Amino acid sequence: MCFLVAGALGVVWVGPTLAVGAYASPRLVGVTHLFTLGWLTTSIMGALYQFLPVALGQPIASERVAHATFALHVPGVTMFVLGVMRGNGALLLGGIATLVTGLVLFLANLGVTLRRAERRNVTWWAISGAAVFLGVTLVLGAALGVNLRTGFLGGVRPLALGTHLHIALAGWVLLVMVGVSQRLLPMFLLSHGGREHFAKYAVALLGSGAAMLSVLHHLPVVGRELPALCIAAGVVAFLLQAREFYRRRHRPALDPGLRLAAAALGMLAVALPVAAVVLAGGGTASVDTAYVMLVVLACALFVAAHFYKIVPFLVWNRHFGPLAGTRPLPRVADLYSQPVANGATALLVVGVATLVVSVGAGIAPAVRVGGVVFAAGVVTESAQMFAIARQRP
Amino acid sequence: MVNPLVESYPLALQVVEASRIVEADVREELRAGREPFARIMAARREVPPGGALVVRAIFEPAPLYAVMAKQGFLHHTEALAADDWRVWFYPDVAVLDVRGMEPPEPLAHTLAAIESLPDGGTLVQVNVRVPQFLLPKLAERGFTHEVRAVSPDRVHVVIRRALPAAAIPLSA
Repeated sequence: MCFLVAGALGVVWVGPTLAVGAYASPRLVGVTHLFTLGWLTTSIMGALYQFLPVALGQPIASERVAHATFALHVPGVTMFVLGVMRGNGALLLGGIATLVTGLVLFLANLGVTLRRAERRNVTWWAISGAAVFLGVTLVLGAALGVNLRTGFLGGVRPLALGTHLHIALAGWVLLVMVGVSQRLLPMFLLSHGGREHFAKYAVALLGSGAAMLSVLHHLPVVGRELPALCIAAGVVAFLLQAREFYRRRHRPALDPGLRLAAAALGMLAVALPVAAVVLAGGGTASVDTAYVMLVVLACALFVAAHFYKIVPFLVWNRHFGPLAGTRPLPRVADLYSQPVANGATALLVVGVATLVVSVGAGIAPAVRVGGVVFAAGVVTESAQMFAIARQRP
Repeated sequence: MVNPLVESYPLALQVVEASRIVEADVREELRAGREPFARIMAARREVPPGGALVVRAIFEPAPLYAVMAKQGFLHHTEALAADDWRVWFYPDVAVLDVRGMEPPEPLAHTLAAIESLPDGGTLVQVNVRVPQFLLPKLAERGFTHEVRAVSPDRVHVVIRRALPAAAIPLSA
């Protein structure tokens, strides 16, 4: 949550840079990584440790390695982001080395866990694919980081940047989202027994697109348009699967977390036509920046939405669960204020919408306003999460 | 083999394992005018603990209900045709269906329900997945459990409260 708060405040700070579409600005790169490496990747790592035993019946291979992973990842990301923003080579390279070590440990731990798992369902394939693409993302990201000091990539830097970004989002983040939501959405929406075929298509298409992009990114058509088509089709399949879960739900009323998740999925749907404009080269630097921002923040909100479901559950399970059956206990929904959560959700959605539109249109004051609204939503949700974490019987 | 996993059946019948069901089709005996009671009782003796007996008859075998009730069996009757009746006799076991509950409600309700189980008593939780967070808590509280995955979206967790040590025969 600290990374999310820092990222949201960073958006306010880099508002003018966002408005001119200077996506290669070190400050903007730093803020972007607060969301991707800091918020999304740290959340995914933590969530998988809790989620794998439930989804695959296989606990994480080593808890000790998991702790070491976090001990390396969190300072690594912090050093890396500060190094990028300040142009400090020692911090940058130290950060890269630390976070890459942490993520390699994470991947090793995850790899052993996945290998031991007996259930090879769609979630297993999604997370396995995501692990591979996290590795590819790391290699490309480390090369881009080193390039900041050496310039060895020369004229292929934009290509490397675009490839890094899309493999990170489609291959790592979206694949995990597909795999995890395949189990969590039916659980929280009470929509069991639905068809899984859309999720299978989503995993196959996102994986194929990211794989083509990884290997063939230097070639026209098969390294650009075809992977883009696969990834877009994968996103459509994921959205159709999510729609199936929402439509089949047995509980009509949506709580704040599920409402925010639906809004985030809606943002992904909006990103598809924008991606087509960007791919066709019809957009300005501002539109390109708005597109990337929309996808990153849609994923960020999808994860933030699940915090409203997962954090109260884990706190309840740890502190209240042992007392279940012995005395009356609060429900999970009683651990936080629903109206405040609804307010946070509204701020987050309005903030992202304002940001994306104003960045695309290049209106600097509106970018700041959008950033402030978004940050207010993030701070509100974070305050609720910290309050939930302190709840005791 | 007959399958009790039909949503319209009583839950306590649905949770009976298909492999523990003994069938007694006495339609031919009845059509031939022979008394089938002895054969039904012989089939009843073959029913393993936790199992069920299925009787097929050409009319509703109402007199059996009281006989089987005395042995702890509930019944569920189906008229498949005018001269074809199927009656399920199944054990009276506590069942908690948590499929319509959002986590952690299944855990809370199950832990509350097992508190009232008598020594040696059984509760069957009907879930859509293996309740990974519940299982260690059952062990902590001295309950044993058996997980039966009956379909991709359905799991039966059979939870038993252990008998006190003094109640367990030395020969066991």
